[in-house]
Amino acid sequence: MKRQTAAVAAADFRRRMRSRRLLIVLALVAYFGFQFTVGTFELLYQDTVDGQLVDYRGEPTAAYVGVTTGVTGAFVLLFGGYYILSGSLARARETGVDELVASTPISDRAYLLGMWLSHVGLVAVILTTLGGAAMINHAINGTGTTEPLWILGAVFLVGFPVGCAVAGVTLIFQSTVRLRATAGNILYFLGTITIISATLVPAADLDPTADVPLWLRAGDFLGLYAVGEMTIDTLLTVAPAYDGPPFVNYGTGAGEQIITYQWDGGAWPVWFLATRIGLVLSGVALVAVATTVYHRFGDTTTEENNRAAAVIARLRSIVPVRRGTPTEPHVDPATVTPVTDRSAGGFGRLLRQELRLLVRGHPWWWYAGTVLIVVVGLSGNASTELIVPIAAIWPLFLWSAIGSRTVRHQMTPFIVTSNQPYRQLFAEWMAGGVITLIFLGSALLPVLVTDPAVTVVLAGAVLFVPSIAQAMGLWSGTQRLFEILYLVCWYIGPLNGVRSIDFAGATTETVGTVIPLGFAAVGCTALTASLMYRYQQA
Amino acid sequence: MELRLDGVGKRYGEETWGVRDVDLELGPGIHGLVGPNGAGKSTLMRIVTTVLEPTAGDVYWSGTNIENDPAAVRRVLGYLPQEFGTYPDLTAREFLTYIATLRGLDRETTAARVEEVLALTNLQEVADRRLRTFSGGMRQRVGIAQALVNDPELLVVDEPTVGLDPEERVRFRNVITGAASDRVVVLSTHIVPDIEATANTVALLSDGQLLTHTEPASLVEAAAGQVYECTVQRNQLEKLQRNYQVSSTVQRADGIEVRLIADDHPGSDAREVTPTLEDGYLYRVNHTGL
Repeated sequence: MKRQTAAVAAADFRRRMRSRRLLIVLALVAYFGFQFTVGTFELLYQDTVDGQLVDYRGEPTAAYVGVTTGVTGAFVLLFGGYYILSGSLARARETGVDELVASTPISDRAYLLGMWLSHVGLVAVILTTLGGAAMINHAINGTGTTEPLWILGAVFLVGFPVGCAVAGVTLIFQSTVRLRATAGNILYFLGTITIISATLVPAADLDPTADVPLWLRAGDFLGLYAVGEMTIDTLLTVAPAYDGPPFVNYGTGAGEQIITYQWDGGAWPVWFLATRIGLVLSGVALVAVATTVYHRFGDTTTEENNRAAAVIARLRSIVPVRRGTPTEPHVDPATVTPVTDRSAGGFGRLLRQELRLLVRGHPWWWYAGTVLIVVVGLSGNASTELIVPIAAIWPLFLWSAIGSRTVRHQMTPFIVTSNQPYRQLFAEWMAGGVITLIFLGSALLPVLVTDPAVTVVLAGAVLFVPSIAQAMGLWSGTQRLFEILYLVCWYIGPLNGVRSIDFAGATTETVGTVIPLGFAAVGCTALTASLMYRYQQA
Repeated sequence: MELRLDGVGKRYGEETWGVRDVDLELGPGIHGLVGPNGAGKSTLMRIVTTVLEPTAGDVYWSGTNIENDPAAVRRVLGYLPQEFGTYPDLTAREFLTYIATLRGLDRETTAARVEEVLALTNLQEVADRRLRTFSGGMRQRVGIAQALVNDPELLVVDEPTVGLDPEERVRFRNVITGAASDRVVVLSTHIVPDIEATANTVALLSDGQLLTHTEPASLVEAAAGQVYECTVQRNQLEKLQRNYQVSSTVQRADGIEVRLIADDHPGSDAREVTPTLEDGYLYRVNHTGL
């Protein structure tokens, strides 16, 4: 089993290492590392003194850069790791490798363990990149001696266990038919946000020197409590009156006053080391859980579809179904209808067909939810703060298919060699716009009736959402890039009511401002990017 | 109506050429494109269909350089790539309608053509089934149908009969033979009998270069006097395989009947036989240089 597992891990890891997309991921990780250590964002203690927001940050010593980069690594892996790692089983399915594997004697456990090890290997590469970037950042911008061991040690201590656990969760989701696509992406994102909120919010009102309850420390995936415990005494030496929460958090340093403290390192709390070991072990345990839901001999959706097809076939044998013009069983190839017009526009037909592609093939509950959203939205019985965020997340399945669908279904040669590569692009984009209009239009119609200026908000959303979905789908060839970025925007904007990110008009505070115009401009830029992509394809 | 390739080449990386210096003139009729794996057949087809831009040379469709005006060929093109996809949630009829719309057909012509190509590919009975329920062979027939749906003047098909059962292979041959009189058909395949049954000319590619472009009969004639059959025991087979190009073996009650290609008479038991196109292909690829 060991050799089989190692072979699976090595093959998958090599494939990942040779992917050009990995370079982009690593570049982004290094960029985040820069931003979160010496760039725009920082780990800060925050407090309000005499009505003024005061930020407290550490001097960029090797120890401080190490812990902040470690927390950043854990943050990146917790929120982005799932989306980075989740391609392995999907790729094996797409390429048919899973069928080859299924016909070999390798056990599910050995196969999934191999995949997990490959994921963990990728996590190590990501953290090494992040740690390397942090060392360079420190050497250039930091104070004191650059200590590689401290920086890399902290990065791996905080980030690696999180990566192990996320790798396990990824395998469970990717092994579960209903969780392997957009539904899983949403659930993972919301689940992670919920867990992090649940472990941070209860401690927000604690005294800075108070002991954080054990159950909260047990959920300290990101290491925020651990960093707090290690650095709070140093902070209190420069700010004895500090009365904020006993943990650091991310911020932009926008407070009226910034006070710095110098932390030169210290011993990691024993409880934190225990949680790290627990996370690594949980990653292995999650692989065992994944084997219970992993189906190596084909997935059940095919069986369900076959059952559904059988039911439809039975119904059709009873109910007369309208078909096209009856044809003779034998047609002479030399006498078939000649084509005289090869430049008929047909944009309307193309749009209808793109719409059909978008809305077909979803589970029944999705259609039921759609009807409910439209009815509740149009009725005006729900506030915009409630209905708009729901209307802005429900069609995520549809939007994220735009752009990447031609790649996913190997349709690119047909599109590119057709008469209408640009019309198809516009038809696909417009189909996404129609979906946006139906969902957000239903949700916003009651306020639009009373305030016609809401039309601008709606128009901004209609331009913004399908355009970025299409551009990201085309340029990345995958749904995941759009899904994760959209989820972040949706969470901050429409759901949490941050006005500047509220592209959907959930707060209605953007009415009459330039914000909808900004989203429309981003949408137009994204549409231009899509056109550029199609231009280089065609 | 003519497809002309003028010194066409495609380079990958610094020194690797997918195809190189290919000159071809193809008029109406069926033109088989054969060659070993990696010979550059698919690359050449992708260049002809404007999916790939050539690194060197030009491709002309009826006198128009398709690199300058790709729409000239796209307007009249039917294309079946070796690897292609479909939208699994569409029915066969909906998928063909979608492709016909992309190819610029009007509504009435689309409706008529879709029904006709469904009939030509024997898919009428399953026309309203979603493509995700199709077998590999049925899916391949959908691929053939979509390539024919716009009544193309230039039909480029890459390994069209892969996955088809013998009956459907014969049906495909009949369809393209019947339709080839007034269009240029480029047929790439490893199944030499398909070429033998349909092609007016054969272009033989090897290692990215055009070895020959000739009539099938000429390729067969070139191997005349070089093809032999003999019956041997199992322990003699390995020696024959080492020394000659063995094109087929058939188990018989008295041993193994071996068909082989040899420059010299391979032994007293061997008898000279009439070559087939497959023999001619193997002889040309393995017994002569460029």
